[in-house]
Amino acid sequence: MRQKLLILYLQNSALDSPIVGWTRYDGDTVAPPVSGDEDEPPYATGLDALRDGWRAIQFSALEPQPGELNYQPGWQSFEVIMEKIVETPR
Amino acid sequence: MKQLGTGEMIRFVRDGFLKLEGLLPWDLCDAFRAAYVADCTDDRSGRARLPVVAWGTPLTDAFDDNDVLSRVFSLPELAGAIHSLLGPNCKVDHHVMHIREPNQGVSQHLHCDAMIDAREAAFDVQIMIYPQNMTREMGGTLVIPGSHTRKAGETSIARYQNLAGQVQLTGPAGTVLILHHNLWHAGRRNASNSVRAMYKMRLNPTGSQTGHWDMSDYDAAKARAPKPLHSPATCKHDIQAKLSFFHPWADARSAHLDIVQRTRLWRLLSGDEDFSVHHFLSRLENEPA
Repeated sequence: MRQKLLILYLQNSALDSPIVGWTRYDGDTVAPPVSGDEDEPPYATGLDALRDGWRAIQFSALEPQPGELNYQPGWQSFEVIMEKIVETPR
Repeated sequence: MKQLGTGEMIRFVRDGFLKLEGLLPWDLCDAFRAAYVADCTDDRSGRARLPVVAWGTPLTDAFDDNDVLSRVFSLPELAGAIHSLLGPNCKVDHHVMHIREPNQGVSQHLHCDAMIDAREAAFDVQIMIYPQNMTREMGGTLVIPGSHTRKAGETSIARYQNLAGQVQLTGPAGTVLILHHNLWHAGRRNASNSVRAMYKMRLNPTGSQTGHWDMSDYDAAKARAPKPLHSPATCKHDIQAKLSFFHPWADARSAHLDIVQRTRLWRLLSGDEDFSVHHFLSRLENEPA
């Protein structure tokens, strides 16, 4: 069995908010991950990914960000890590 | 020199970069490639071709008159843009050549150059020069518009592979990017059959960065006039509306803080300490005695 990860960055902390960033790591391929080549997110919202069979395995914590009270923006605030397990051999 | 105008300065404050498409004329691109790129196969060979310039060298003293780079940095549009953003007498931080072989499978991770920069206001600029036509397949620099307000060090942001609204550089030979030093960027994979070259120069200011652009059409009083959200423009360029833009990759929580940071940057560049994008920052500064 191999794990495929889809990491989503959302517009707010709700899973049904729009996806504003995304990252893929695929344990089922030897191709290297690539930055910056995709124009459109794989789904409109995090919930759409869930409905397509991705399992959420981690959410970013809901807590104040360092620097926020000095009006310094952080990076991506709302990260969800999702997985699929594939059983087909490579 | 040809200084930047108000519209270009607004774009720089909003996006953190400017693209000057095809700025170098063809003959200068040819000379550039012949001098610094021809037969180079990797970064090491590319860097070996460049003149050695110690950090702290005034840009005006960095190159011999017969260096192609002297001609490049004498272009009125480039000299004017550098002057507009950094003020006079800027100094060289470093310069480098990046050469990418054809048909690569690997891209750079998203990053900011150098360690995290805690400066409140002053900023460096990075000049990126592409001496050949750049197609999407050649994997030119990826930039995240507006990310200059998000302080990050090196590859701490490497996990972000794709962000909505990201820009993949393309353009004719001689295209130049001018970046705020903190802009998130990466070299994309070169999936073409051509070698890709990119020259980069980082420059430091040596004095105030206020008021060095062409302000002939800038009216500070109109620019700062209280302007409710979504209301008609109070000035020619509608600066408050343009600087309140939400970049598509920004989550709602931090997008508001971006506006505060853009307001601070506009204050630095314009010298107008009373400027506020709508009431975002002025509201936070209201602490009656």
